[in-house]
Amino acid sequence: MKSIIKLYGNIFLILLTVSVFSQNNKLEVVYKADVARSSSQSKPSIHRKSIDKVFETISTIEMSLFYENGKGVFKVQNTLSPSDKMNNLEFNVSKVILDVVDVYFYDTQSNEVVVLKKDIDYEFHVFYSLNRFNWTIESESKKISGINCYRATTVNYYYDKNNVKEEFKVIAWYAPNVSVPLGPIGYSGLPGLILELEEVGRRRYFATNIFFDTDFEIKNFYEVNKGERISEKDFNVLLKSKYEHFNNLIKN
Amino acid sequence: MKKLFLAAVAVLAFGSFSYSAVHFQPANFEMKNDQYLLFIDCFQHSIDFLEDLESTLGYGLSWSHQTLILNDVYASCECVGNGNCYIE
Repeated sequence: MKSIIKLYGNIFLILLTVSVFSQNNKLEVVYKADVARSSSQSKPSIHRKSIDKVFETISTIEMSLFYENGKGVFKVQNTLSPSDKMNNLEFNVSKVILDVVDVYFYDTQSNEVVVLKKDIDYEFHVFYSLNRFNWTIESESKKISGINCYRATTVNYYYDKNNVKEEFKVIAWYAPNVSVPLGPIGYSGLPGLILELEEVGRRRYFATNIFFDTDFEIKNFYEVNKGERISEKDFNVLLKSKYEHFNNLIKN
Repeated sequence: MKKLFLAAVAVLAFGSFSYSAVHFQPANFEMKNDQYLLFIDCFQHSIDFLEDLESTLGYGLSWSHQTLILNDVYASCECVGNGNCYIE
């Protein structure tokens, strides 16, 4: 009897959540992250204090995913004033480690993720498909903030300093009852909102708060109309050519 | 542009010269001695920072992330060294 009450309680909670969400069509998810820390670092270093501060900063950084009517924005929250940020090396390094230097824009109608890459002399909108990741959906489930989530895995990659492609495994926990196919740092394409995401051996993003009735206008964050559009593949080619250009410059 | 150049120089030297700033000879840079010493100092400082950071993380960063970090650490070092602060 107790389990039946619990079951109905859970169903009620989910229905309530979905009902609230569909009424407003707005959603804000706040994420935090933790990053792998090797236990084998033993040599003393003059940078130890600064690196410890980077890890402290990482644990305080909050990121938000905003969603409204098919459009989403994922970005770091502005927890520091512009003057603090200007002089805060640890904050800048933490943003790089968490991959939140750039802002991510999602459009479920055009099926696109657009990453805004800003530098001192360029501004590009690097785009790729919302379904770029080849997810394997599994039956394992767990509850996150009372919401039933299922496990899915995929593989992602990066280019190391020798321009060699390195792959790593990614585990996502998504909520089918919140039908938003988005998640942190560009991960998307699952049949539900990603509430937890782990790049195995590297870093993990987890939802700390979900708000279904927040007061924001997505158009205030959405900047994809400005700047030059470039595919992820072409952007990588461009970066590679810059890399080779400077390499030749130095060698000559 | 200076920022980008320094970043690219730093990351390339990092990849190409086995982390040693001693071998690095800027091709089209004209610097006074004290500027050059500060450049070498901050360059080495940023590479050491990155090495320590990666060792602490226990995994390698992508070269684009390395570039950003070298850039920030270099800029921070130069800011302390000569007051030329252009960190964004």
